[in-house]
Amino acid sequence: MFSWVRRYQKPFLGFLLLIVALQLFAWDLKEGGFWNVPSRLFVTVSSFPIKAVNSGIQKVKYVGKWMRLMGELIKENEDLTKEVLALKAEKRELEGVNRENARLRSLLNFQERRPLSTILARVIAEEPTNIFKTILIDKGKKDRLDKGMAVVTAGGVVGQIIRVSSTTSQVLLITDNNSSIDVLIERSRAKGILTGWRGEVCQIKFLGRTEDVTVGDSVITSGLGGVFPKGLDVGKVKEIDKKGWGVFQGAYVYPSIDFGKLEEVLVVLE
Amino acid sequence: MRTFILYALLGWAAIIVQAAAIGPLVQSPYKPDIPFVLLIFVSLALPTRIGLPLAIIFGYFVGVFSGSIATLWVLVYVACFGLTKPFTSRFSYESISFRAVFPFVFTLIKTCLLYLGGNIFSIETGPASWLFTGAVVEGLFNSTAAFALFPGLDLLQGRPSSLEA
Repeated sequence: MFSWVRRYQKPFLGFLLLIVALQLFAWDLKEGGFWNVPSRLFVTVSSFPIKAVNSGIQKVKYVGKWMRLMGELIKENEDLTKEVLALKAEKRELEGVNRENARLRSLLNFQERRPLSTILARVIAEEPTNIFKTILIDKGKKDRLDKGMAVVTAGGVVGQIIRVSSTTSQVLLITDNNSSIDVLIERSRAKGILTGWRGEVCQIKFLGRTEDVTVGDSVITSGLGGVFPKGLDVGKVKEIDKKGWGVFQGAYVYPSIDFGKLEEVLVVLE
Repeated sequence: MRTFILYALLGWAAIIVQAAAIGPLVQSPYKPDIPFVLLIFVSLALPTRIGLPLAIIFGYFVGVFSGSIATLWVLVYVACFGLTKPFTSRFSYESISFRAVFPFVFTLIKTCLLYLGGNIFSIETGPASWLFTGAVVEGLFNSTAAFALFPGLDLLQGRPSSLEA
């Protein structure tokens, strides 16, 4: 008997295992099969480390996501910075256009207030040296401009043309020492000759010592000399000098125009 | 007994890693099967008296988490364990080429057995083309995983890893 069992041990064991397996399958396929209780227990026990590992993985994924998001944010930030810079440039350009518009509008108003024959010109260059005070405008002989013509803005007197080419003209500013304009103190009608003095300040020469001049008085063109129309704003008296002896008093004037910001001017053709 | 408990715990850890980490990390329909790679090592490196119960346990672990019936997995793992045994005496399982090819081949065999078992016991395993395409990709993953895991498991066995061809 035992020798028979020993002889067919392997096929017998194989057959037994097959039966066991099939039985397990049968139990397994049924609701609440053989594996049910140990499986539940196993899953319950395993759920703790699974939750811990999954939590770690989620954190790693979160960090990865966060890093990816940061990368995207950095890129977005760069793009937005570029856009902001472009918009700022555009804004600056628009502001420039607005300012130009305002300037042109004031020049137009000036033209309407004073029925002078004028031509609009743009300042295209400034004097490269510090000694002389001139500007170059983009209108010349072709535009009927000539030497000696007055150049003004809505703010006041700029100067006069001293050199003309076919397409450009050089304008001597009133702040230049070589410039001379016949002027009046608006309030007292005292007369004098305005010339450049130092930097952006002018002086009035030949102003009688007894003339009534005070600091803050407006200075306007007298219309004498035939270059500048009468009554154009020139500036305001900044300081009066009555020291020393003589028949004249000194008066220093701040021009009404900021020559550093000149962009458009009107050339008086008549 | 100590080795058995150690590998049973390793199998448990492998199924936890497989269920909790590999799925979320590998955003692909095909993933490496770490418990199966461990089974391959067990079948190659351990004697049958320890390896066979471990194959049953590993199969059971996978079966519980697979959503399929556990017995099918137990049988597949046991069958794979039995099929690997004849190769251990003929090839050096420590060689690189063997390690590279063996997990790949046995992944295909495992898929064939699952497909067969599924058909016999009317368990849906999906279209054959999809199943075997997945098996090829999974086999490549498993071979790669074997390269990473086997040297460590060798050290656990108490002998240095030798990767000579």
